[in-house]
Parts: sequence; C-alpha cells; structure tokens
Amino acid sequence: MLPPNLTQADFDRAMDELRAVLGREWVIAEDGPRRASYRDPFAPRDVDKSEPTAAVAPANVSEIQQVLTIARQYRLPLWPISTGRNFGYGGPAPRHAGTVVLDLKRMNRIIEVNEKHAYAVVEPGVSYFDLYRYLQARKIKLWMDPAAPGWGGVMGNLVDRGAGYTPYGEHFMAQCGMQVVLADGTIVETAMGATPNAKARHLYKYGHGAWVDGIFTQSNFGIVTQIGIWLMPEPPGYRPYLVTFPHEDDIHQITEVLRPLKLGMLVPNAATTVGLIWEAAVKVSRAQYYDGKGPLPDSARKRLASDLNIGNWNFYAALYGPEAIMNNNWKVIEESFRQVNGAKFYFEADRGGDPAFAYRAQLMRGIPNMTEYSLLNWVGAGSHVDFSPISPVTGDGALKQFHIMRDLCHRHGFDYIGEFLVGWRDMHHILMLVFERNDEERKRAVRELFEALVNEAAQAGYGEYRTHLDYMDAIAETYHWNERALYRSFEMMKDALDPQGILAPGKSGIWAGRSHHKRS
Amino acid sequence: MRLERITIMLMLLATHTSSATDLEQGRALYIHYCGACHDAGAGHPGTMRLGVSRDQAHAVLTARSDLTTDYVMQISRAGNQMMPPFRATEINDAELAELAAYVTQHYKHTQ
Repeated sequence: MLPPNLTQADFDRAMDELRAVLGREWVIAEDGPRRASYRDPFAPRDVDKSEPTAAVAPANVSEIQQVLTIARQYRLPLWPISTGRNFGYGGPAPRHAGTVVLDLKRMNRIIEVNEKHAYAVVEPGVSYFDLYRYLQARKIKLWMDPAAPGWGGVMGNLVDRGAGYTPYGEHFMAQCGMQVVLADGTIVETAMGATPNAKARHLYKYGHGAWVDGIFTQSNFGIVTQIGIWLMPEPPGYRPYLVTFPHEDDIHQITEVLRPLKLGMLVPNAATTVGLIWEAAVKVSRAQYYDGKGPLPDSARKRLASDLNIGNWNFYAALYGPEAIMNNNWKVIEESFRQVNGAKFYFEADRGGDPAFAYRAQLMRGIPNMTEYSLLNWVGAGSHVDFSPISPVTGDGALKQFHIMRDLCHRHGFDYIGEFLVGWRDMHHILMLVFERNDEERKRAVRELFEALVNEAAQAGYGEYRTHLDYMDAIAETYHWNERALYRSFEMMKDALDPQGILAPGKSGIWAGRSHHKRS
Repeated sequence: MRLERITIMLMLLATHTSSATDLEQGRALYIHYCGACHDAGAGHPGTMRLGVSRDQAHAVLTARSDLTTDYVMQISRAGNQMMPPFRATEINDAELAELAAYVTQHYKHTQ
C-alpha cells in the first residue's frame, strides 16, 4: 500500500534517494520476509494488512536528518520505532500500512553509564538485556528497571510511558535529559542539555523555561534519539515477598491496606497485585484444567489455586535496604496484610522452583527475563492485546474496575487475566486479552470486547494510559473534556512542529492538519 | 536476489564448515537472542510451548538433532507460533547463520 497522495513513481524515487543515504540493505521495500517482519503479528485482525510499505533503518542522527529531508520533499510518512518488541501494543508496525517504518534499532549505543551519579544515557535500540549485560560485565553496582519482557527497549518503553517493578518503576519519573530530532531536522537537547558544555545534563530534569520532555512521549512531535535515565544504586539488602489472598473481592481490602503502605514508602517499589490466571499461566495452560469454551469455571479455578498454592490475588513486592530496616518494615507490612482473612505470606525460600516467584523476584531487582511471555501459552500459541486503564489506589476503585472488566471478559467468552501495578498514587490495571492467533472468530470477539471495555471504563470515569495501534483514536476520544481541549492543544502543537504531518501519523490519536479548521 | 545468494552461501557455510570460532559466536548470539525463551527448565516460554505443541523431547532447541540451519533461519525471520519475527536490524543474515549453526549442532557436544 502506498502512502496517501504519493504516486508509485514518486515513492520509487524516494526509496532510491533513501538507498543512496542508508545503503540498499537498510531500505527494506521489497516483498519478502525482511519487510514482513514489520507486521503486527498479534493484531486482532488481518495480520497481513499490517505490513508497512517499507522500513528504513538509519545508523545515526545525521542519517535521520537526511531521511527527514527526503520525507519532507515527498511527504513520506515515517513511523519511528526503537526496539519494536512490545507486541501487546502493535510491535514494530505503524498504524497504517501506507507508512514507512523508521527503525532505530541500529542506533544501539550505551553512550554513558555514570556510576557516581547513577544514570545511563542510551540510544533507541538498547534493550533491557543489552543494558543489564553491560552493567554486569563491568560489575557496576547499579540496577536498571526492566519491563516484563527483557527484549523491550529502555528508551522506547520510557517514551511510551511504560512501567517496571523496582522503586524506579515509573519510568518517566526516572528520565533526565533528552535529545530529539524535529521534523525539520533540528536537533534539540532538552532542559540542562541546552546549555553548551552542560555539567548537569542528566542530573536536573527541568533546566530553564518551559519543560518540554513530556510532549515527546506517546506523541508524534519529534524523534527521540537519546535519553538519560536514572539507575538505582544496589541496596545493601533485598528481600522479595508474596502475599496470597483467597477471594476475588479481597481486591478491595488489599488495596485499602496497600495505599498507606505505598504512600509511606514502606512498599517502595512498583508492586503488583496479580490475578489468579496471570499467576498460573506462567506454569500451566488452560487445557490442563478445562477444555470447554468460555471463561474458566469456578471448579477449575479452585483446582488451579490449590494445585499451584496461589490465591485469587497474589501480591508481589520487596524490601530493600539494611537488614534492620527491612526487618522493621516487614513487621508493619505483615501486620497490615494480616487484616485480610486468609492472607498467606511467602519469602524466596518458601517458593523454591516456582517460576512465577522467580521472575517477579528478578524483575523487582532489575534483572530482565522473558518468563511473563509464557502467558501466551494459556490458550496454546496465543497472541495478546492489552487494555490498561488507570485506577485510584482505593478499594472501591479497584473492585469496580475489576468487576467491570471481569464481567465483560466473561460475557464475551474470555478469561480475565489481569494485574494491578501500583505507582505512587495510582494503579495501572493491566488486562491481558490472550487469544488464539489464527482464529478469526476469536479475533472478532476480541474487537467487540475491546470496544465494550473502552466504553464502559470511560463511562465509569477511567481512562487508559496506553493502547494498541488499533485503538488509539478510540482512547483519544475518551479524553474529550471541554470540547477536546487537550487534543485540540495537541493538534496545535502537531501543526506547529510537524506541519506536513510526516511523523507517526495518528500516534495516540494525534493527527496533523486538524488545528486550523477546529479553531475557525 | 544478491542477498538471497549471500544467505544461501552463508547457510551452506554454516552447515558444512562451522569452525569452533563460528560456534562460539553462535553461542553468544543464542544466549543474547534465544536463551531467555528457549533454555531448559521452567520459566522459559518457548520451551514451555514446544513441550506442548511437540513433546518434551523437542522442547529444548539446543538439545534437538532434527533442526536444520535453513529452518532455524527461516523461523527466526518469519516467526513461529507465539514467537514474533526477528528483524534484520536486530540480527543480520550473517549473525543468523552463525546462530543457526550453533543451535543445530549443539546437541553433538552434549551427547
């Protein structure tokens, strides 16, 4: 599929010019597996139709600038990706096939790790595995904060405002310093980086004047090419723990107990309250417990909980620090959660050989792994799209969201596979919709369910924090207070920074060329 | 066409004349790209999947004797079951050939 308003002849000319800049190998425009690898393999629709018209892969900022010159000349839309491996939200694919993927994976330098001030500076192609191995090889006593699949990108996840599981789990909070290439080719260093020979580029986030780093996240206003990220000094002690709870509606009391612990930093990390099936699916598959259609029946859920010694909810967090501090904090934490009837407490030694505990224990201390990807085994060779609204850290909020999402899942014939990831004053409620990837009927059901989830959550006052390519406009529509004032401001910024609309058309529901007619 | 020819040559090279150095490079690539999903033991989603879709004897890639370099390269680039494709920017064709040589020949060194 050609980009809109571009003839085949112009497209071919643009590709030739790009080959002259990048070399033939890094302009991938021919039919075949190299281009097909840019599809969204988990799309809940026809996967073939997600294949972009081409992909180009610059090796440095200078090549990006040259690509932009050609893109502006031909009005060639570009979709920047970093590692392109978050398949719950679309992987490396663009929103529309008539777009050229700007693959930044080759820009994979770890530019600096500063042990004294505990930060790293990375390019877009650096994965969590890359950074972890770099730190390990040099025996650097700093922890990074990985998202669950370790093949994800340090920068890409942060720029998409993803989260992890250590005390630095709110990734954007740990960002400091950013290099951005604008659509006109201008290179911008944000905040302190704008002072020549900057001495505090990755130490103070804000600089002087307007602070703009945030507008380059989840947006299409520029191409982020470097980012500073704070790392956590290795603490003198680390003790991960699990608390299991027997009943589904315990989520109310668990959350009420958790809020003061989190606000008071007795739970310092991005902790998770994990639903039964999420917890089970890294160890067993659905077919081992139920071969019928529709959600897992209660009898099977009870067997699952009993066999695996897990709860309907499973709370993972960790203690960090000197022994004395960990021991004292644990007293308060244990006493607090004991208020929930049936709560059971486990440390690492109690869960030997349990892959669920093992991978959570790794993530909460910054060791990347792939274990959570096993969830796709729940239905065989599964795919997934994620629905992820934000909840307040309140029992009422958590229970209401859980009921809405579980009931809708069940009504549409799906299991509820969810977890709550707690930040400082919010919870990311992640629903993983796992489905059989070659089953068109199930894909149709996923689409219907997703639409219902967006609508019911929005009516109840819950917005999503991030979404799959196919739902970016739908989620954007739910942020419509005061006649879409927020999105109208995005459109004004878009038209000012990228008037031709060549960068990531439709990212997060932001489109070019809409500001003028909306204002008139 | 030229790329295809190079790929085929590399595949032949990997099949017939892999040196210890090639296999060492292939091992490093396996650890980097594959091990987290395909190593033996619990917590590895690829091993878990193959244990179900095939059987336990075919669950661990590096223990298998039935894999060919061609197949490993093709599956890596195209994806299989729940494994998404790996793009040329992630692992290039020459690296893929080294990786495939290691995966297909490792079983000989463990018998």
